[in-house]
Amino acid sequence: MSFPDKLDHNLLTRILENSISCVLDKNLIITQANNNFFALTGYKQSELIQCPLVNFIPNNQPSAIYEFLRKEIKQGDTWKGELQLQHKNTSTLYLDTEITPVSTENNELIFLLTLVDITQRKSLITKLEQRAHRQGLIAILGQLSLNNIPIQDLLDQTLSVICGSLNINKGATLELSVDGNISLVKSAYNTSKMVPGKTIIPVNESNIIGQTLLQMEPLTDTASHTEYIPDILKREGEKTIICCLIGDNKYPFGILCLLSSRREQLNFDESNFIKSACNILAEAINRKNMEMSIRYERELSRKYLDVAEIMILVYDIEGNILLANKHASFVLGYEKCELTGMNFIDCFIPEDIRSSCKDILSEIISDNGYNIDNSEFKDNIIPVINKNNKIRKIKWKTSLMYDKSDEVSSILSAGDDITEQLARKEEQKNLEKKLHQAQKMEAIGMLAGGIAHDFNNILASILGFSDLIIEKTSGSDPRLFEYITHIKNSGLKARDIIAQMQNINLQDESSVSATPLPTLLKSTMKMLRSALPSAIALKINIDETIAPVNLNASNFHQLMMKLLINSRDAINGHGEISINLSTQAFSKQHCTICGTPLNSEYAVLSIADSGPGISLEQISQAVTDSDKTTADSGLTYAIKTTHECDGHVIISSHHLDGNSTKTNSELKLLFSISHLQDNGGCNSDHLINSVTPKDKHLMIVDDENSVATYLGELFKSAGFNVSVFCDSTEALSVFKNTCNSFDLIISDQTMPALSGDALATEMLKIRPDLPVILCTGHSTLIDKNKAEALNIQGFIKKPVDSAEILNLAIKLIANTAS
Amino acid sequence: MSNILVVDDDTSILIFIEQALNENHQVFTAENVTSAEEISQNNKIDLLITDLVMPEKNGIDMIMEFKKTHPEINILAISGGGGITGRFDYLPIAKLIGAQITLKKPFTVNELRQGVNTLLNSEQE
Repeated sequence: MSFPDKLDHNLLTRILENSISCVLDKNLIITQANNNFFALTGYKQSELIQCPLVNFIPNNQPSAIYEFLRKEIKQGDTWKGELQLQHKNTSTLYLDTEITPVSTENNELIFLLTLVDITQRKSLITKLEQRAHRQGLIAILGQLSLNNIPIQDLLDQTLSVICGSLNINKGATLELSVDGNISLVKSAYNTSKMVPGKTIIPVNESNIIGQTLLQMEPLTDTASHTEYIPDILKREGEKTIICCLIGDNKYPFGILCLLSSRREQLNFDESNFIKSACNILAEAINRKNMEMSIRYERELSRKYLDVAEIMILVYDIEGNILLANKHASFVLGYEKCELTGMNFIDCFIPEDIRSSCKDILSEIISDNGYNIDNSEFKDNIIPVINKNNKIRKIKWKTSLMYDKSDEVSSILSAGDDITEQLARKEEQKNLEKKLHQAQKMEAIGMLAGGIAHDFNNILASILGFSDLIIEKTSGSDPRLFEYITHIKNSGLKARDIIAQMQNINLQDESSVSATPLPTLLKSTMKMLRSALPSAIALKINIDETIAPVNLNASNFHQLMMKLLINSRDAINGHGEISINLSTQAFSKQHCTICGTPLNSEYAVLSIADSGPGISLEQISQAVTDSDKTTADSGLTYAIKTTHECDGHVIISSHHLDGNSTKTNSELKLLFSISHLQDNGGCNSDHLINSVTPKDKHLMIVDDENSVATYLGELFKSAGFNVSVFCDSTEALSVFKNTCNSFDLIISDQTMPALSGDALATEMLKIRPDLPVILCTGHSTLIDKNKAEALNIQGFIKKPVDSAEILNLAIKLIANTAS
Repeated sequence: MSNILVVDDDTSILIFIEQALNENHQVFTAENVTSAEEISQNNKIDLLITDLVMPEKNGIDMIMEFKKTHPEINILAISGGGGITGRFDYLPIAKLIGAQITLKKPFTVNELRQGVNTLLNSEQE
């Protein structure tokens, strides 16, 4: 720029009029200024003229301009630069300034300042810079949140960024509890009053959080406020509290609180900055929550799958397993991770049905309506073979899964392992069969008892009249005598057989008693001989001196029958069966079945036949079966029966002479010598002998006088002491006073005031061991099972058979005594 | 000569017993308890031989009745055993209720006579 040597006054005036300008003397005192200058700075002429320029320059203005002015004096150059002046209202003016040193007409050096007001532009630029800076910060925070840093770190970072950028003194982020009643400090900036994780602030109307949540109207300084501001802007004394919700208004996660000492309110950019930061926080929290809930859902689904007692398999259309649950892994015997990728059909379907299963799979894939049940696999049951080579029977339900293009992508199969269930069903069927058989046998037994009775009547005539004929003819005709003798002998044989039949039939099936084994064995063999073909020779060797053993005669009969039938079948109907009964003392041996050491004397019954002997397989099967109630093979039954009455079993194998590859096994049944009283066969004779009626006191209760009297007479005739009552209440009160004096109660069921079952219940409360016989006519209120449940031991239907009730009474008294 | 009353629903048994004993004793026979009671009312009975299982009233009850009405009577009970239900023996019960001797059917003439003699002789003594 050219430098005018002399300043033309007119020129100066023109310049001053057309621009914002002023003139300083060499001491930098304002000597002249134009109206534009006054207008810009807000000062009047009197306030400016003759004042040093430095008075109007803000304190923080760089000293560059003075440096220049000092230099310019020497160099005489023009300076261009930015000058800041303070407006009268203290705001800062930014001015593009050109300073030209000029000599006046008097050769005095003055400085001509021409100014262009760039304040507005400057503030715009500052604003833009700040905005860019904050946007950069927001971007960084966004990036951080997307990088999945922990929420806590994100909160800390965000708070410090906001406080740092906005010059905020203190700040905190608070988390709201689910019910919205308390807030917990999550992060804090520059404050020791709030400790993250420890400080809890209750949410109520009087505090900032409460007010924020109550959607309190934002406080603003000016009514004409149009700028966006954060939710709450509250002034408290010299401080401004700024709160901003994190999350949506309805369900905020928390609140960002800032404490500022700035007086002026936040501008749009600042508010926006806070809002954006809070949004980033909200989104990050939301995302985290979603992730957690998805993870939870997945975890839950996995738990559902695993907790189910059902196999769940997902496999592709080739049969390759994609997913298996815990139960599937349990049934198949592989870890879940091992199962993935295995081919279900190739690895788990038994070979013989593999191809039909593949066919079924392709049928299912091609036609949604395909039903396995129509195939060879009834009830949808397809067996699988697991890692341990065990077959499991599985009932399947299968459903197809489709991809986006509606193609079958995989198959979901749910399988119920019903192996045990089927086995139980089978066992139950067997039990029912056995029960049926037992009922049939019982019916046959009763029938046989009845027939025996009638048959004895017939035989009585046959034998009796034979006797009479022999007596009357007294040998007059030898041939007639011979014929009659034949009739009589046949009659006697028939009598023996019937007697055996009755003997067996009258046995009590549950009781074990001292039994003379030789007699029992002989009579049993007599009966069973007829069941064996005559081509079988029976070799029986009995030591008659054997002491009575613990045994249930009825079970023994069955045991012998089963063993003999086994032997009969083993030797194909012809050969020899030898039965040996002797006493033997044991010391070092053990029971083959239960392993109990044997160290006393036993009655030993051994049964051998000329057949191939018992195979080891049969023995092990019998041992396994002996725990089951359904076992019925001869050997199993023998094991069970002997053990039930303290007996044992020894099975010994020995090589047959001259042939070392063939072995023969011998079965020895050991019966323990009894210390029980000999009952001579466990019949009612024994029972009756074991009871001394005159020592026993019976109570008979029946509201019908005639019945009560009759029963009383009956038992008195049998020798018992009897107390008869027609009033059950009275009977009970007598019993309560003298409960130990009664050995048996016989009561009617249907009585006024106190029924038989109620009476029995009361009495049994006092004496639980008391035997009670309940007689009932047509009461529907009580039956045998209900009576048993009440611990009533005897139950008899009216009209009472005198023999039956006597028999039952004696049996119950004898049982109680023993 | 003693008076013997035989009670059995089986007539062939009645005839057999009558024939076996009628040489030395006066034998009355009854097919049921009612007619037995009638006979006992009209005759002094020394010995009652009775079956135990009979259709209308069983022998146990009858023995009980007779023991009450004729305390001095001798009783010999006979039965095929087993009873209708087949589960227990009536003879021991009869013994308990007052039959001195029980005989299981079928029995021989000798067994019967022996029993009868035992009872009647002991009475004479």
